[in-house]
Amino acid sequence: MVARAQELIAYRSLVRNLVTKDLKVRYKNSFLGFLWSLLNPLLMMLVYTLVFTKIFPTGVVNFPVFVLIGLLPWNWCLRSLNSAATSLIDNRTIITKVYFPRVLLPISAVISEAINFLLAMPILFLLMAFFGLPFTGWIAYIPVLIIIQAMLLVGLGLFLAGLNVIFRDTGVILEVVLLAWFFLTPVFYDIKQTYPETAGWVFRFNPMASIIEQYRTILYLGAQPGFSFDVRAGLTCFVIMILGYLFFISLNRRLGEHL
Amino acid sequence: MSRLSNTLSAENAIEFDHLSRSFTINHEQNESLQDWVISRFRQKKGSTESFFALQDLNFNIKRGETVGFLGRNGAGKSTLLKIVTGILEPTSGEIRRGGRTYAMLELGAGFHPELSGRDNIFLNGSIYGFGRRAMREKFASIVEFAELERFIDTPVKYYSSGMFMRLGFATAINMDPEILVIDEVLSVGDAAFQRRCNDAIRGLQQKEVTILLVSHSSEQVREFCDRAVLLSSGKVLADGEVEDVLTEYARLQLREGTGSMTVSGQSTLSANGQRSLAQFAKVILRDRTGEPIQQLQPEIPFALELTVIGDDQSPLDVIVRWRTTLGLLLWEGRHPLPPTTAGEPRGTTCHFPALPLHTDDLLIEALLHDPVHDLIIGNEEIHLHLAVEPGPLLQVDHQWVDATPVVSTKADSTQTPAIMASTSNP
Repeated sequence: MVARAQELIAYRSLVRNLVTKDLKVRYKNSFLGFLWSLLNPLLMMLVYTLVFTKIFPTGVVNFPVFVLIGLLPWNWCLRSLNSAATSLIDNRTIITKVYFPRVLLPISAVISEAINFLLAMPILFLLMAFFGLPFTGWIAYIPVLIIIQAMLLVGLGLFLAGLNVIFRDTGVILEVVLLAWFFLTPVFYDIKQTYPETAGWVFRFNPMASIIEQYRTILYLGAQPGFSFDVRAGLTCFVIMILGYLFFISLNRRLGEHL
Repeated sequence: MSRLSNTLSAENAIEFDHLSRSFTINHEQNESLQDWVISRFRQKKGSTESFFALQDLNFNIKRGETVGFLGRNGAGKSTLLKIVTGILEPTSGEIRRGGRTYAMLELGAGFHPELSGRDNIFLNGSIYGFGRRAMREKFASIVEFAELERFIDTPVKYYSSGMFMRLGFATAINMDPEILVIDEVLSVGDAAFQRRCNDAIRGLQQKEVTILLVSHSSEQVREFCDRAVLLSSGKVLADGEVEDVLTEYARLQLREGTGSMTVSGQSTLSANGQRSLAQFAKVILRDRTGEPIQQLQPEIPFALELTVIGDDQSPLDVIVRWRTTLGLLLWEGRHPLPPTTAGEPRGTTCHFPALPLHTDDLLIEALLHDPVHDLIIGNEEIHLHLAVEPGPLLQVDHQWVDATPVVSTKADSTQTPAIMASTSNP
């Protein structure tokens, strides 16, 4: 275990290079380049705002900010899992030719989406200022939420990446699962308002719901986040990360062969 | 990357300890969920079978040794190299490695087409575990070796395949390996680049780097290796002196009847009516003193020694051809092989005076011809690098006859293209 951890540290420059590669390649041939990282959530916010204030009004005040706070962490989750799931297969040529710790591929996928998430945060702050929402000292607490979410995504990413090597239909199933998960996660609705009696269960079984709720408490309400909430979510996510890692390691031996 | 084992003896770089690797030939590999579900419901699930790609390997490779691995396709060479590099793990037994192991299994594997040469060098370096600072130190020598100074900031998708390969080789060779694994990648680029690749490999050999080389070219194995190992069906068939193992390899191909050297796969009938296959056992270039050589100097005589096994009686010709690397036939000579007593190899040596050629690259082709059926039944190629300055191809004795006083000279043809001799007579 110690040896493995040392190995990962020795390869930290690979993580950095994989992440920069990802970011460089993504917008390589697009006209607006990295601006898309900012525009994309803004445009999505506009669509949701139009739908849920005009077509199906939800009655949430300052809806654009409300939905953007949910969308940013959700997009990070969605994209990380999609690209982590295919990370091994996409990099088949390197894996079968060079030895390096393969866990770094799904981990890099999560990290490069984290960077996109962080790049879009200023847009959120601008929007908050525009709608006159309060900026409180609790914003300093956000890195804790980011770490909790990163653990969750790394765990699930490792699990999906490994699973995809054995069952190539993981990607197809994942699409549906993510869609269902999206609707079960209060991204564009307020669960405490719409289904107050089931909210507790959702928060217990859906770490993403807890995480988004916490972002909202800090940024939308400007209130103190619930710490016990985070201890629970943090522990759940940590366990998920360890389980995902163990699952991945147990497959490691078969990777070179199955790819 | 490499696991330093406490049981590895100090003089060895690699130890194979009863190492086996098997693969499951999954007739129902659960690639998709559908297959998996079906396999759960099926009564007998016994149609998986495993085969051993490597069986009970038990040998050591010394530090600084260069070992060539020979064997037909499917003999287990690639599996062996992948186990040495850690890409695959052994099914049973153990491999002990001492030192950073680097693989040249495919040049430029892991290069991303959209990234520039520069970014790819850093990315590739980090795949091998090198940090930014370490790579910055290596960067200049990589670029210089690859001769890509002008294109280093161009995305590699615009590179020609030669440029791509050069960058791949240059990156790999500069990773300071202690154990280097090379799989069939030594034939990249033009003759000049190949020469530098060969020099680079020799440089590593001098630095006591342990090299494992898989090659189908017996010339390359002869040129670089101190020792050769012949694999067949995952087992070591021969291990030792390069020449001995190469002979064994030729015999193996002969026995299995589908040697890569045989062009038509036709057999000839020997005098006693027994079906047999004639085959080159050795095609060796020697200098005047009889030492095997790989490089020719122009102006120095040499000889081509041909040994044929597998058929001791039937009429056979050897044909020797010289070609340019583009395939242009320069010269051809033919000679009937003398018969020998049963089981003995047949041999002949063709002596050449100084080469009247001025090219830095030459293919020498040795063919085995069955005059009765008019069939080519064997062929071996030697790719020669000649240490010459570029100039016109042919050196031709010629004579200039001027209009007034007649003086005959044997001119230095290096300054006079061959064609001039026939067209510029006044």
